[in-house]
Amino acid sequence: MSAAFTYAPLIVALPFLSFLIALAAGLADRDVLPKGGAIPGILATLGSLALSAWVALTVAGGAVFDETIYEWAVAAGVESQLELSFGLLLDPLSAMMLVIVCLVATLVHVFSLGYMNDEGETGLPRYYAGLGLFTASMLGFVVSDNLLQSFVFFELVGLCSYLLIGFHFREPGPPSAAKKAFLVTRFGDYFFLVGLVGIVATFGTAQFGGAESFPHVAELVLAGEASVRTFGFAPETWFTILGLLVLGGVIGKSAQFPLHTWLPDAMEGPTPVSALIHAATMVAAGVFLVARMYGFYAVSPTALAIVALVGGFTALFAATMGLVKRELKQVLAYSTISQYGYMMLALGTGGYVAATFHLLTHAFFKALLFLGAGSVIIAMHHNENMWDMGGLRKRMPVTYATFLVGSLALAGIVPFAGFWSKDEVLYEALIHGLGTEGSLGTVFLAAYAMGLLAVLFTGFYTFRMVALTFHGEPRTDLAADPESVGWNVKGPLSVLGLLAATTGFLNLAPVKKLTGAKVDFLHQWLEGPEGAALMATLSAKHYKHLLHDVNPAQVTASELGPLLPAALSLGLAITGALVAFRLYATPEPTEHTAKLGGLQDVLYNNYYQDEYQVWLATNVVQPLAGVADTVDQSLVDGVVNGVSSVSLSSGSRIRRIQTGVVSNYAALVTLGLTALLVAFGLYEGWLL
Amino acid sequence: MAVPVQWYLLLSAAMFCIGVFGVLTRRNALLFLMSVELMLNAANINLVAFARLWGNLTGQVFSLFTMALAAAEVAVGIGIILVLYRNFSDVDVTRATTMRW
Amino acid sequence: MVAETIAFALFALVTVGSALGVVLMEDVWHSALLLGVALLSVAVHYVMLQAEFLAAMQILVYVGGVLILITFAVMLVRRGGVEADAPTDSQTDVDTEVDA
Repeated sequence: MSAAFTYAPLIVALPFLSFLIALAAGLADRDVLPKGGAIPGILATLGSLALSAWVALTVAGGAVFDETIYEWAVAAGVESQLELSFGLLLDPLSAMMLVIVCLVATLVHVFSLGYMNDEGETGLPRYYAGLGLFTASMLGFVVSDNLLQSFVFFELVGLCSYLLIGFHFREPGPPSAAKKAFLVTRFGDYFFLVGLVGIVATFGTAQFGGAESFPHVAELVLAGEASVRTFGFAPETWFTILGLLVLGGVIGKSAQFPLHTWLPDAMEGPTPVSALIHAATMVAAGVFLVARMYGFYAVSPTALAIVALVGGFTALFAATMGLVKRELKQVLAYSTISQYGYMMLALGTGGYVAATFHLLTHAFFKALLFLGAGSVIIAMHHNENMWDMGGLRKRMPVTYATFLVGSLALAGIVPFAGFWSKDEVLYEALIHGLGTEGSLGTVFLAAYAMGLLAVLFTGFYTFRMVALTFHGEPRTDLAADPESVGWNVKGPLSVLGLLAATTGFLNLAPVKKLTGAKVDFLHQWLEGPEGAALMATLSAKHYKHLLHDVNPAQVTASELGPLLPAALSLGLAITGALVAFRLYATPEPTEHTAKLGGLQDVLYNNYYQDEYQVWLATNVVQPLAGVADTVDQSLVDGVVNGVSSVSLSSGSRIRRIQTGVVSNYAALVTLGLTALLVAFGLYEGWLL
Repeated sequence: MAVPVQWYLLLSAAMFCIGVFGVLTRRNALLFLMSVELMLNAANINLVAFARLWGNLTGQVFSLFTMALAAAEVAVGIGIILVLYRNFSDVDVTRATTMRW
Repeated sequence: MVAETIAFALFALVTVGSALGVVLMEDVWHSALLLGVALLSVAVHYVMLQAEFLAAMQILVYVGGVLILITFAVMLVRRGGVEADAPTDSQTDVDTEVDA
């Protein structure tokens, strides 16, 4: 075992330690720590980053690691024994994710110095404690080697998002947004929990990797080489049900339709927190979970179809809502939902590497955009309305340059990171849609069409945002004379700007297809170190085998050149961007939304998603709860109260037979004894 | 053995019945105590008589324990009676009925 | 042996008689004294049953300990001094129940 793996638990422990330190500082109720507790957080995430990099290098060197660290419950079953444990699974996927999370968390910590400390916020130890716990939870989630541990950290991540979104708890908005985020994701997690129990009950294990892991056992069962208890269903049906139950949690956390409504509201939290939630932690957790147990989804056509459709639809749906938003962070929120839709689309259509790639690039450019937005918000004294900005380009050159890079990446303009990943997502969807026979192929194509259309909207809303914020003339006095931002804002922005521009080159799959040069590094990375036994069930190559050979629908890629699809999506993105620039990059831009007619209201109101969910809650769930309450109050409580009142009243009557006179008791005792003697005498026959 | 054991049993039964009679009829707590002593002694006579009959000392040992018990019981009983007297300025057991409900 | 039988009969009579006296006497003080007689005669029975040690213990523990305690209590709870035959509550109660 490599030394890197020995120290790997520290990756999770260090941010947790910073959480404890910040918590203690907060409880001490004095300024015991300089910078409100930011320093331990920065040091801890830096340490984790270094360790993660070391782990990634070790994994690159051909070693993988999957071991149980702590077993917290063992139950002996009839056939096998059930072990519930915490473990570490360090393979290419988790190593990559570790680096992303640590890097973004470090930069967010640094940025917070500028956004929180320099702005004179109070309650900073609480803020940094939340960030530390958030990072630690996400890292623990990433290294999980079994689904139960994933679930535990999944919930912790949700808790931290609640704490951080509601950071400004004295204002009216944030607490309710925090509650909404908590409850909506918890609704999805409920299905996840049921699915988790189902998986453990079916397979007797929740391990992700190895020959005993549940995806592998499912594969064997489908191939007819093993059997598990499937509770009366056909194995295919049962595995699909389990996969979809777990997907419920994913949809909640990754803000997919119809559980996406919490995410735009979560913008009430501090902007660095939004960056962390959107780029690396909470929202990424859902997609990462699907990638982690991809072997389980790859064998089920129905699950794949649903993942692909949900993803494609969400990508398009969220993009249209982002078109008309007036606030900077709202646009970014809808873009996040949309981009995670792309990742789901890729996972659903068999593009495992593409989804991972988009997760990677999106983490960087979305963190960049949020931090850039944070920088603008500092400059605008916490006014987020884009219609009050304009012309910031000249006054905030660093922010503008980096934000532009992030926007180009988000819109998918060559050669920035987002282009390569989004193009690969769409390309995979297209070739698998064309290559796969039957209805699954049609579903893939439909999802692809939605994804492609969303590219146009993405280009439009991204550059509408850029144009309104940075171009034209200042529309308010504040925009004409913005507050300057410090190094701790510009530093992270520059790092992320560089990454957003370059991470695309990690995986130039189209270039490889055209020239044959081996430049698809991420593909090679995820196919894993050759020879490691663990990777037999966790590599991209294995997933391809599952999709094609084990999946009954036989997901196949067609031989289509990458140039045409890439040109198509690039053309759409550029069209969207140019139209947005024409409309909004003018000295006196107008909203132009009146041209949308009736659609305008629908878009402003987010397709009335919140309204119908509230309607469901008040008109369906509440009456149901009322009925349950009535039953509880009258029937259940009635029985309980009845029992107690009967015994109470009978007790108060029966106690009247007590006289309190000792002589009576003595007489009764004597009588009883005599009666017993007589009875025994008669029974035994010696009396008569 | 000159006196048949049955006679001792009769004596013991008579004493026991007198004790029970005392407990059942009298209302003075002190009389309760004395009646209990009578019953214990009746039991002792029984034990000692059988010990003599079988030539076995177990009965006598047992009656020694009974004596110790009787002594302890009287000590506790006296304490109760004194408290009873202090609270009710009387030792009539039928009057001390305040704790029944 | 006739003498032994006579002795048993005699002491049995004393025992039963004094025991009856214990439960029938109106005055508690008399009861206590008669209890002493009963206990002593039980000790005589022990001697006749060849349990001399037990007889000694009987006298020591019962007559010397228990009886002393009881007389002590009798003296403590009596009302109106030594001549407590004046009709008090408890006294009248005892009267009625003995009659009954």
